[in-house]
Amino acid sequence: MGARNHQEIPQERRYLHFNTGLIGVAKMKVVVLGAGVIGVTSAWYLAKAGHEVTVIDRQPAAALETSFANAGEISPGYSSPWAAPGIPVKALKWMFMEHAPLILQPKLDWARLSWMARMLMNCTADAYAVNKSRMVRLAEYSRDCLMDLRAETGISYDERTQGTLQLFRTEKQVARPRRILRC
Amino acid sequence: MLKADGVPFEVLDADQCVAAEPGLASAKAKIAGGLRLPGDETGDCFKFTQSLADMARAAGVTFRHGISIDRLEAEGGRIVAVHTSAGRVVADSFVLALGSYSPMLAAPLGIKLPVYPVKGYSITVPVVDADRAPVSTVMDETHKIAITRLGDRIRVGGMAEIAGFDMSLSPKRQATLTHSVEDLFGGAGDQSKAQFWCGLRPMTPDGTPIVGRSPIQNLFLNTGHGTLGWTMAAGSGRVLADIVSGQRTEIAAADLGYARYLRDGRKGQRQGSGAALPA
Ligand SMILES: Cc1cc2nc3c(=O)[nH]c(=O)nc-3n(C[C@H](O)[C@H](O)[C@H](O)COP(=O)(O)OP(=O)(O)OC[C@H]3O[C@@H](n4cnc5c(N)ncnc54)[C@H](O)[C@@H]3O)c2cc1C
Repeated sequence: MGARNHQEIPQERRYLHFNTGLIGVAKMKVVVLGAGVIGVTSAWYLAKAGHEVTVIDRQPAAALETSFANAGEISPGYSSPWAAPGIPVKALKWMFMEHAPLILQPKLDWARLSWMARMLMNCTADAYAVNKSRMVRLAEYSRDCLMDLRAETGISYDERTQGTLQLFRTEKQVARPRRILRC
Repeated sequence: MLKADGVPFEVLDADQCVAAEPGLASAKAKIAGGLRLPGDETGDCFKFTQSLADMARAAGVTFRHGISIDRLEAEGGRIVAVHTSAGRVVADSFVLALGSYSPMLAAPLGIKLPVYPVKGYSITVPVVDADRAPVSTVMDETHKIAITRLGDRIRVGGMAEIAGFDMSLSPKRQATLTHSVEDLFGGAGDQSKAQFWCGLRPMTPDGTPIVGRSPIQNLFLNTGHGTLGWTMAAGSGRVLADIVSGQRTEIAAADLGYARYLRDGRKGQRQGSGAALPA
């Protein structure tokens, strides 16, 4: 499966994996703090680069915190920041919906307020464009790395490569992505 | 196939949505249309991480579990050790990948990571009627909830709750997830066997994770992946390993690091430019 997907990657998206069998890298002792999906992928590639790697985590096994039961999407197509133009107004609406997608607990501390203020500052069209381009770049590269990893190791994880479908219940919702995607 | 910014997509009407996801047949009247992104994938992040950890172990990586990390010990502009419940661990380099808990370890070193926990919830239900179940991921734009097929299970996840590090599981949130999946894929899963879960997304205010160097020469950061940590994991791990190794990264990575949060005046003062960062 991995090998077939491999060929589906458009030519311009292929990266030269010239340094997988690293030559000239000083071997180091590296400690990775955290065994979520991020710590474990870091450890994997560090080990492949020839380093001596130790991973430390408080849980009895890997991926028992945030990486445990997420929605399962590998979605470069939807890799965009939450901080976007129009979000502050929408956020207010969401909070008062039945089955609200956004819940803001009334207890407000400094860390939360300053983080939210910084998020609001990223809601401009310019900031959104910059942030999105960074996220898409990393997400697309990541999906390609995952394809390579599948081809190389045969790793399986109830994976499917059939795309994602965003479902709209109103005409207004249908119109919005058309505008965003300029189609 | 249409493309926007290089991402292929298809705009579907209600019939085409049902063709793509036959389980939606009985909910067709509720559907106004859809947007399909054929390049996206799905999979179980937990299974992946566990398998990759096993393979890493086989390749020589040591995993020390059940140990809590208390603090990093700095000396002469370097990290010399990490202090844990099992004692002091020394190394040449350290990678901070503690998700939402990363800021606590970095703050005493003067590194202010703007990572805040945004709580989300999921339910996982066994499939009882495969014909009614989703084939891949369906995102319910109204409730901002994603419904994903994982083997013989359906995972329903979403919601953003800003509630600090609170990990309580309120039945009200479960009801929202149940409502969304039953509304679209009624009868597909056995709700009486639903496993209810919550997690803290390590969110940055600009959405981009923090991958790369820190102001401390031998401390590297891989955190702040927010809503997309599973999507970005393999690439982030690869970029991070290349930076630690002093290799050129395959994609531009300078703007993915902590330096983007520092004021211009301080940008040039980062220590340890041993490795050439790509422009
Ligand atoms: C409801 C929900 C749905 C989601 N859906 C998706 C999706 O569809 N697609 C997607 O790409 N992403 C999704 N995400 C986001 C994704 O799950 C996260 O971004 C990702 O899991 C973060 O991984 P991590 O390794 O950084 O954090 P974690 O998995 O939390 O790993 C951090 C590790 O550090 C350990 N740790 C923390 N503090 C200490 C300490 N002091 N001492 C020792 N160990 C410690 C923990 O035990 C943990 O194992 C979703 C998240 C949620 C909550």
